[in-house]
Amino acid sequence: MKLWSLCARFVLLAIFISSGSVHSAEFSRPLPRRIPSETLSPRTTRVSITTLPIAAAVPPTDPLYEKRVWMERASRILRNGKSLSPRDPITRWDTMSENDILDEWMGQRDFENSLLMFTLSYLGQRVSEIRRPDATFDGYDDKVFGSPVATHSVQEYFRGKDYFDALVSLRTPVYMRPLSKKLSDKLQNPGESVEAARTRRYAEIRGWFMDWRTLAADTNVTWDQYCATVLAGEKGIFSAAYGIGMDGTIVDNYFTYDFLLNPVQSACRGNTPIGFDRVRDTERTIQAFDWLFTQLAPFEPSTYTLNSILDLRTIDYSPIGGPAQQLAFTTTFEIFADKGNSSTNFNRKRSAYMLKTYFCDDLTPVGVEIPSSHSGGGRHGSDPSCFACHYKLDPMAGFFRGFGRWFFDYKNWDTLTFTDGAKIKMADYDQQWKAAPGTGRTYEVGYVRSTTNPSLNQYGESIADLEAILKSAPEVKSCFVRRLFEYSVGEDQSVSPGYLNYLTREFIRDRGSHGTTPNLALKNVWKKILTSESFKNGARVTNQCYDFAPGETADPSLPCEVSSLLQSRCVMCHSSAGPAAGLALDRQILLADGSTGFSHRDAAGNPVPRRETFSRIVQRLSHSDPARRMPLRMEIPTKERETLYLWADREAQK
Amino acid sequence: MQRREFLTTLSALPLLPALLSSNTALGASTTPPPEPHFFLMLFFPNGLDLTHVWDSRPLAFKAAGLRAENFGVEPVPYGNTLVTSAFDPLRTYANRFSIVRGVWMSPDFDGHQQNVNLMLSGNPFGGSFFVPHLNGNTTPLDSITNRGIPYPLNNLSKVAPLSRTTLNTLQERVSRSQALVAGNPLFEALKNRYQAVGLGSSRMALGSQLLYGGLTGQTELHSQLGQLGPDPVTTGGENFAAYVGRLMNLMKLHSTRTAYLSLTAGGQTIDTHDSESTKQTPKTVQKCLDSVVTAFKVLSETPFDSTRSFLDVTTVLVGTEFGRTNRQVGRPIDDTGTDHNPYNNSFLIGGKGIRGGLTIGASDFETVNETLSPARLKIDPQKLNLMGRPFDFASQTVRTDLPPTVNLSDYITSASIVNTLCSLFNVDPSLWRKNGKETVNAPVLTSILA
Amino acid sequence: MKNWIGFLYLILSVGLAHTTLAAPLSRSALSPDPRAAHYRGFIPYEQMLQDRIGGIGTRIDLGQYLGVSESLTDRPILSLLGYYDSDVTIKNGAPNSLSFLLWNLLISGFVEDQLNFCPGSTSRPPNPVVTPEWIALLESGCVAGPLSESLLSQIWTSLAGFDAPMSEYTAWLGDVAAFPQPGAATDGTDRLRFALALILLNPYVILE
Repeated sequence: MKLWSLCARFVLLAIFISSGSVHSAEFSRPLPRRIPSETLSPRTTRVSITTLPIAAAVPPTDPLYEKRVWMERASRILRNGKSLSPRDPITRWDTMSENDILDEWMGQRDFENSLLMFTLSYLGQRVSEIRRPDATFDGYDDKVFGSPVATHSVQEYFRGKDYFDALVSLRTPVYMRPLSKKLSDKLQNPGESVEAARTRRYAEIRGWFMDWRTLAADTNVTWDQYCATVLAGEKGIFSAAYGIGMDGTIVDNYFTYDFLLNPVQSACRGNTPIGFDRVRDTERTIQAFDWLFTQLAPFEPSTYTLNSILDLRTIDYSPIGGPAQQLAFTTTFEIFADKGNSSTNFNRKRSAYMLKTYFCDDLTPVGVEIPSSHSGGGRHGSDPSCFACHYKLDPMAGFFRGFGRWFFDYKNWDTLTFTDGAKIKMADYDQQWKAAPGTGRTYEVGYVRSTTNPSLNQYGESIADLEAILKSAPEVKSCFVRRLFEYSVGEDQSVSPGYLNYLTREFIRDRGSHGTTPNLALKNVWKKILTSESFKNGARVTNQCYDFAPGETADPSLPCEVSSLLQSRCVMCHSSAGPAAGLALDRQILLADGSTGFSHRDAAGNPVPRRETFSRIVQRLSHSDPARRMPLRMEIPTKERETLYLWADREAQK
Repeated sequence: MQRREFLTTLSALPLLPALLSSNTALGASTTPPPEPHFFLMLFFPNGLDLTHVWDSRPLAFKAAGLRAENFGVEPVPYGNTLVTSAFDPLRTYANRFSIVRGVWMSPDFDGHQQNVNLMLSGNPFGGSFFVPHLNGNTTPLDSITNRGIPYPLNNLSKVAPLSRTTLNTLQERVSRSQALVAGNPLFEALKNRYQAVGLGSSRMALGSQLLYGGLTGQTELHSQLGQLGPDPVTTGGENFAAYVGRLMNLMKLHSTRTAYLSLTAGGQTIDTHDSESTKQTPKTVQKCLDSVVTAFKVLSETPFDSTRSFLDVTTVLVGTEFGRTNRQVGRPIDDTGTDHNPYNNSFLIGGKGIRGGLTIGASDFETVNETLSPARLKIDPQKLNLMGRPFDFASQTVRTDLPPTVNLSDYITSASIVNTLCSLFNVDPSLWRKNGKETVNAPVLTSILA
Repeated sequence: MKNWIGFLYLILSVGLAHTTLAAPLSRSALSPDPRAAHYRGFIPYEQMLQDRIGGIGTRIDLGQYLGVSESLTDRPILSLLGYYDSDVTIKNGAPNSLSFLLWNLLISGFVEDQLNFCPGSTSRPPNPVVTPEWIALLESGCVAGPLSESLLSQIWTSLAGFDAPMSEYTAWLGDVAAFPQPGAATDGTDRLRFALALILLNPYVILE
């Protein structure tokens, strides 16, 4: 075998071939031609192609092919999971810049579901597909509507309003999906249209109202008899709601559980609203149903189809004294995301959700300050293993203190029902979050960054206050950028904190200067991520960083996240030029024992052993005294402290 | 040697260390073990109150307003404990299992997720699932479960969620398909591709290594599923007895050695925080035990070979993530719910390697006027809970002293339960459990080992 | 010479065996162990085929090859192929023996259906769900004798799109060339079956 042919096996020449293809010219842009066929007899081909390690046989890259590889990946992110197709204008895209391609895709129809998919992911949910041909009601996966903030923020984006503001709003319009296309066989006669069946059903239900009124007013009717009729069985309130095909609409969360049913329902289950009057509240229920029946025509599926999230309609209950907005968390969300408020967790699951979702805070117990006194009767004690999480968890939970089972608002009730069915007096429950005298606030409720420096915290009482915190807290924007990176690149991909901070700064700057294009910041940061090395690198290793802030240099001897943090948080005091406490963290050196570590000398100038150095770093990172905790006089995000702590702890054990 | 063969051989050399390793996807061994030993875990999530089966209390407790009780009949002695009528169906198999009482779960958390995580992985925040460790990486699948495992466990890649319906459908499809076996051109070409792409530690490389393991493992699995045959029980739905039978046959065919089944109480509420559910407790525990009895019946009546039943070659563990309190504060004893109690759990362990008929460990507060330890009173001054008594692991007896402080090493914990199983299945001690921050493995319950 | 080449090859193999394919920058503190790619997932895989070779107004249904046709949440078997349930992490995304078995069943069923477009097939679907262009490629690929690189590149691109690096295409070409070439008396269905399955089970196609 000639030498040249052997060499040829290690090199693949990129030669274009003519397509001559019956396939769409757009798609079948020719792949590079391989080496001449006479060298590719089956026997030799097998040896040269399939058994060589990739690294030894990587052909010269074809930039256009690489671009299409990138386009394929980006397309699945921005075009609702679609791959490049023969029907796409690929050759036109070939000639465009990456940013221009992304701009085009963000302006297309498919971007709606892409944005919705990301938004759901941001909120901690993920579905395999937004639209399902076999979905029960309107083609959308039910989880899409479990978080109304998802639909609201996407609607705002496409209406030219601020997507991010909507994303961090916790009150949304009350959405209502189309009514069901068919009632049950018992209710809809063969050949009868669903509208006619529903109209007939309304008439039947209106007939029940006479019974409800009569029973409510009749003092000889016992409470149990009243409840048995109004609630249960074939002529009760539940049948009225579900029997007209409202079971597919998300409104039943607010309507049946929060607004319409609950006064009567709760009272019949032993949880009486303050000032409940059987006659008056039954009449109110009847009026509400009567009013609702008059509002349903626009929601009939014959005239209301959801081809887009923008088609989703709302209902406003304020004409009958009900809500015009709903809380962003629905009953459905509580159930499928397991975010109940049980008698043992006191809204802490919801609080943990808020912290993790909006603040990227996993409640890492590092560097917790133990206060000199407890709040609220010492119910959590001073045990660091408890307090490490609860100092942040409980105040956040306080924003939901009025919301019990199904996120129902119990502010007008004297007893709150938990998700597990247990009950508590509202006064006792509310007491859990009362602030100690002298704090200047009524409730110990808020986003707590420090237990000894209240000026670093943001306090509030209501959901509106929580919204304001979400809109202003820098951690929320930083977390949003991180989640966008994780969604686009992969949640298992390491990323330099410096790079994320850079992206966040750009995001905040663009938000401040967006003018008439409120979502420019979102687009810009997403484009940066989709054109990043992390995204493009098909051979990426998950525990390595590929993108850095401008001017940031990574020390390859250190974990990439640590290198970034040391530079930004530590080196200003602990550098080789001026090593505070004898410790220089700007670079690792070869130590006397042959290991790699940081230069660290004690007061007498003697080198400190490596293990001791890292042990002290661990201690100072987690010190409970803010005057000694590192970085000195600097509050850093929990994630950063956790990163440094875990790294140092690992090194200290080597 | 031909040049092609030489170079082909050389190309495989870098993979040899991985191929020889038994702990990588590339090196999955499928050699049958010398002695059959299977594991079946029946888990009832949400905190089943097993003190209404065994570890019960006299009716005097209810009379004193200390404990909700809805059987209305005095429990009777069994070993060193009291049992209710709910235990009766299990008596048939009493010589095939033992009961461990007084087991402490997590003293730091009383949440469902944390205690299930603790049970399954040894860490309240999740970790490595112990059931695959018992399998020893000798079969195509580490374990089979009846539904997905929704906990943050990091080694679920070979734990296959196969309900009865899914298993039957799969078996039927497999029986009508051609196997992909070594020597087949597609098999060989895929193997080459996965090996080639699998070099390095990039995401794709590591994923390709897993594909390699899947490719080489599926041949055997295909054969095993084909041999399993159709379900002899033709009634549809989730027939538990039929399902257990199918699982055991699959284990006999060496598809896996372990199964973890998460079970319910047939529509009854296990997490009895509200009084209505608590009143239903007799029915709830009965429904749960129906599943346990069914499993024992299937195992004991189905022959494994000419001399042994499946129960002779299978170790069984039955449990839940924690116990429950006796009552709730401020509620009348006839109208109270119960809350989580991680200080007194209990487990049933039986089958191969386990001595039958024993009850070891104990919980305190066995009489109304019992003097309780300062340690437990500090945790539970209102005596809402039963708590596990300290245990002398050397003599395997319950201690009678009343410790002033809590030290987990004084008690039987879930770590000891799991380590007992690990000892039976020869799991590497580096994978055993430790209590809290201790540096030694939690002790094995040697008294229940056969 | 051949020993030198072999030795060089050995050096390259061993030296590169456990290095990353990208220049190492630095490792993560939080994730010291690298993570593996996971399955693309059943629904995205089906979507991918639909986008690349699916006809307009029709839908490729992969579930039928495992005997089920309802929604994903009601199809436990298909959930073993990787899907999103509620939280953001993929479920059953890691390849194992069972999931590979299922993928192979599914893909081989799909491939068999494609072969029904070969000339001479008695099971040609009257209502194809794939594009005429794809069908034409299949018809051309079923023949005996060597297949042109032009045809092969179109077959590859039709199924793999731009998921994989060029080296995978090159390797696939070599494998197809190495497959016993059908003689004049036989058709090329076996070779085409091999070629299609090899694409669809390629790591870059089946993994995300």
